Amino acid sequence: MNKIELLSPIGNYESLYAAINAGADSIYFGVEQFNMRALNNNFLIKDIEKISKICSKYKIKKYLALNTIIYDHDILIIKRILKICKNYNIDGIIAMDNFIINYSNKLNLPIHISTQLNITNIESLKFYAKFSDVIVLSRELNLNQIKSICDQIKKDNILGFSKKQIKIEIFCHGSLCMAISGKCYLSLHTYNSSANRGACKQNCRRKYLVKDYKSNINFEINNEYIMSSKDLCTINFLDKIIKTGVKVLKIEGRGKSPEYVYITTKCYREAIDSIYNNTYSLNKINKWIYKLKTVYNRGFWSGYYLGQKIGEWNNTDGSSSIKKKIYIGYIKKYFNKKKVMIILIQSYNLKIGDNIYIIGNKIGVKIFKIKYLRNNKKENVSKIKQGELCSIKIPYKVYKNNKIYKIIENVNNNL
Amino acid sequence: MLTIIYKRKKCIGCNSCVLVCPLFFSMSKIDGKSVLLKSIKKKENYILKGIDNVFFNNLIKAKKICPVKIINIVKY
Repeated sequence: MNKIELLSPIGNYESLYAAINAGADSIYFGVEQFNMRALNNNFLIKDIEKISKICSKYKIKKYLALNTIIYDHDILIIKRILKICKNYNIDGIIAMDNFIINYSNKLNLPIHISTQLNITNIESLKFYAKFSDVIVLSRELNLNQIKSICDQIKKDNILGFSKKQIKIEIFCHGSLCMAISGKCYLSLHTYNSSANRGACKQNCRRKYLVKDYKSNINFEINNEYIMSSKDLCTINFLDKIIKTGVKVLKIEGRGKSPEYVYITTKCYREAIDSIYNNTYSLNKINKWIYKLKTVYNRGFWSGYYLGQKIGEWNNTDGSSSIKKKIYIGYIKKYFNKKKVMIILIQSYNLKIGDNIYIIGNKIGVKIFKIKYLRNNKKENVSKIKQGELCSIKIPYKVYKNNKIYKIIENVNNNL
Repeated sequence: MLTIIYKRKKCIGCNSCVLVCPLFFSMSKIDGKSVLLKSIKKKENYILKGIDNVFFNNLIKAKKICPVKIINIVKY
């Protein structure tokens, strides 16, 4: 039996290497202004070649998300991007616009139907199957509905554009939208900043007061974050998801940090592997959930998959993660033979016992525990202050200018 | 007189500035982003100087409507 594919988000090269090191089977990314994260980290057209080569080297698949609304003035540039994707063997285009779907078909580029098209039934799926190879189902379905769709694909042998059986993909982790995915005008109405052009200003994530204008009465509500949905997390029922017959699991978060990509990908990689070798257990689940809580999250719920009622709202501004990272400094030198790195501490301090992230291009994210420290006089010390240099022995290769962050408790979120 | 400073790199191609200020902005079919017509490129910015004050209100509309806030109008 083929293992389910784990698809990770990347918004920069650090995240790309983080996803590779954590064991992703494939990655997806956006370029220029044509993706749902146009305001965040973003790649340019020239990056397509580089990303494609890196992914080919590590034998993982790469998909380009081109899932915004497209206007007349975008047509030429989109055609150019698709031709470049064809030249550099991009494995699929995540799209919702019919022009992109049609043009990719002409170029023989596989299409993934974006969740922005909200496929929620088998007949709609049959229609899009003529043009695509993977269909990302609407995030608002429950597991029974997903299973029913997967069963009918097997029963009727519904084929995709490349004449292979159509694959179903669903989101397994990350932010959810308060609206049916993508069908939201809040940001456009308030800031003229369209979510469907990748420029969502996330109005739903803020505190609101509900007021009856006529009587001037403020309503008492338990939670002022009335529209901010918690984040999706499925690691505690991943076995049920795999049983539905879904073929690809996607993690949300191209706008998020490299350590988020690393930790979520690693946890889901371990979970998937453990399900296939029958070692999936409650003990492991608790460990994974703890790890997932250490990076950006708004609290977890199971989304719509288990058929729960709506009402799982977040109650804080921004992340509820139990750990956070603070910038410490960067690697000034690395001695390959001795495997020693020299760090310049630019802020705070570094102590024995500290856990650090090393983040950078080529290495992605590494988590490392400081066991001993040496100052620039080669004396063993327990603490290095701001402005000083220190040397640390490290078991794997790092690079000059990689950044060092200390992982500390996020005190406010532990109350 | 007025000067427009336009940070084009961050444009998301929403077409709003072209709708309110078609005299100064137009959509590029080459990269799908807005172009400040007749401007000169200086590092990351596109600059158009010597614009008559009568266009001030119109240009402020473009500045306000831009979702990524990359249009700036300077009066001198």
